[in-house]
Amino acid sequence: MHEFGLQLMNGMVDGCTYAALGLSLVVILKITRIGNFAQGSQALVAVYIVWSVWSAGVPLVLAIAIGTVASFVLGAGLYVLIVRRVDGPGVSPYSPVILTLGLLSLLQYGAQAIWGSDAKTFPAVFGDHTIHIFGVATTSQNMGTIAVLIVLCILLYFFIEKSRLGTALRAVAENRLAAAAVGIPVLGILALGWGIAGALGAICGSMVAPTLILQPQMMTTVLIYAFSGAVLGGMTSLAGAVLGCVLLGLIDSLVATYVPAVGSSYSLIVAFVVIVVVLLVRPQGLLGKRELVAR
Amino acid sequence: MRSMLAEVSHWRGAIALPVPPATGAAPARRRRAGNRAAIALAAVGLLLVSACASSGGSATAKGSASAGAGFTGGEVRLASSYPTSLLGADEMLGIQAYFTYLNKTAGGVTMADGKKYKIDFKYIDDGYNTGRAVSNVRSLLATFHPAAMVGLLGSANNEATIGQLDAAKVPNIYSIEGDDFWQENIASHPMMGPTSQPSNNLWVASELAYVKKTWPGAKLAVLLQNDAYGQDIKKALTKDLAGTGLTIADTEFYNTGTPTLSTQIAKLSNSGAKVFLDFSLAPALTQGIKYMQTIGWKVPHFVCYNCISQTTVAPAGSAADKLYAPLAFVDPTIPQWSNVPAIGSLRDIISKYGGSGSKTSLAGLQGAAIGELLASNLKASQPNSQSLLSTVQSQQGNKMSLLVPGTAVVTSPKYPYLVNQLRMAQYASASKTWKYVDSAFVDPTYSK
Repeated sequence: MHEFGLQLMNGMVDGCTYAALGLSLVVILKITRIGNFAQGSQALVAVYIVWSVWSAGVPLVLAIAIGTVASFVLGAGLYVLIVRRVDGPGVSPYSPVILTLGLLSLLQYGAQAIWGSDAKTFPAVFGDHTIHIFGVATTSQNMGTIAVLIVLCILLYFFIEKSRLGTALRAVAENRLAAAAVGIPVLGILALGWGIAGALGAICGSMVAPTLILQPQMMTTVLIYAFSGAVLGGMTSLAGAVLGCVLLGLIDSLVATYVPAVGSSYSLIVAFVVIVVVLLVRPQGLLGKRELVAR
Repeated sequence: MRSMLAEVSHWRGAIALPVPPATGAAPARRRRAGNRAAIALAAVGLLLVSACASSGGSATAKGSASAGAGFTGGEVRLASSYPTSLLGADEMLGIQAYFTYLNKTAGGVTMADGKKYKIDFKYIDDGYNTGRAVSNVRSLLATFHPAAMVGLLGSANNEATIGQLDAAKVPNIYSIEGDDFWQENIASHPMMGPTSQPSNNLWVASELAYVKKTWPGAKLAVLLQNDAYGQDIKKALTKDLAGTGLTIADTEFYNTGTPTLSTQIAKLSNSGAKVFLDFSLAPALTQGIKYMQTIGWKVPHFVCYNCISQTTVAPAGSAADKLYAPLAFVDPTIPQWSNVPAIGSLRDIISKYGGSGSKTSLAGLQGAAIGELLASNLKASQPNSQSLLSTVQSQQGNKMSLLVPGTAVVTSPKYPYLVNQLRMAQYASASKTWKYVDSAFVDPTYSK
């Protein structure tokens, strides 16, 4: 029973790590319909900025705030200066994919060139103390990360669904021509979406960096898990992205432990088989909306 | 001794990188599918190189003093293929810095024929892509005519290129890996010189010997990477465990790049094991160390011999206290070793003679140490590739600046590794130092 509790907790924590990145992927996809493969690298650069600022003696929370603003500017800037050239009618749908893959390499190797390939000690904003939840050990940082994730989900939901700017974001996502016709500054709104995703990446990246260990490849595989979890949960749904990522973490952890024939070597394969099966039954994902699939 | 993708990424860690399945046959198939003219040109180049190497390369260390291929015009040419785009060029620049130092201060190196040779060292980036490594080596053989290849990184790249080097009679010296493949297949690869890393078998055997002595009959938990490197370790474990009285309670694998190892560690902690043999590499290793502390799993914990640097252990904080590691090399970036005179000397050389971008980092100093050892080998060698190979294969007690105290360079034609000894050490997180807890363990499979 104790081991089951541990593995349940591990699956939850791993899933939330993926969800931290999955959230920003969904935000960009909802607004611009672009799957941003560079999202992990953007978050990585943001975390390095936070680390640099903190290393210079600035308090961690303030450093995260500075990194978040920098990442917002980076995200918005990338869209305005580069991505929008391949985002629009008459452009191959593969162009944004290739472009963001290129940005992924550029940002990751750029970060390595600037900050080096050695692992950095990144501080835990919630402390690294061991705490017990129903007798199961975890860290205060892990619990803090889950709390931050929940708060961000709620804030994002209210921002996108209830605020005036959120309405503009949704309008641009639905129909850019119509949005422009009613006076919405489409380019500015799209840049805002990329900026918000960038800011989310900075916050979430700073939460998971103490666990994942800050180094240039920190986000590389997390991106794959985050994408997969978001697809499982539904790429149009913030809650779906979190749910899908957590399910992915749980399946991976529990199958590795309780299906000896599969073990930890192949548990991830089982997780992806589950994703395929779910998508066969619900192509839009667990909580996704069907119209995006029809589009 | 080194790190790849993070700190370990350099030496042993490099093996963790995802690489395409690589055999000598695969690149050959690709070549056949490519431009036939290029193939013909490459083949002609190889034949020429081979012919040149043969013409002057038959001498042994005690044989002919006539200069062979790679030793012409008062120069000795050495070459490498290395993933500078992935890991940075510190290692290569470190090697180059040492050679520049010799060229500028002594006019080069005086070899056994009494003549002075300047050292020309050239390396090309391969991005840790086996196909590119094969093509780099082909190109270097055809155009640069090296006396030896030095510091090729990773098992896959070395196994994929050794065929070309055997054919061209160009030695492969101090490659950065320690795969047991070489000990098992050394007879088939006459140009394979010692790797710069201890063998996986020595690593495993030294840990088992220490555990047997300190915790007789202990049950072991084992964590391995789910790839060829992990399988190599598993094979060594199976072989070396026989007769020790130790048993394995559980073995877990993890896939390279897995974000966390908590699932595997939690499972191992419930196996009833009393000792943990951890063959994971940074950054996964650092996560594992921290997670053990989180769940309160306190057992003697053994980590890889090249995972001792501050970039691996320091991020784990107090969780890294009392870690064990069998050491072959010291980490010159750790304060306890950084002020050793020999290491200070290497640091000065990099600072004064290193080219643009060179650093006194861990990899940079490791490179300079390889350069230093290679220079001493050249001094003892006749100016031809075969003599150089014989020299590096017959070192009995040579010094190397980064070796742990109480050990020395010991090689043989039958033992393709730079060292045959490891010394167990334990980490104290409070003082951030490693303390030797045993004398050197000598590989029982070593033979002259």
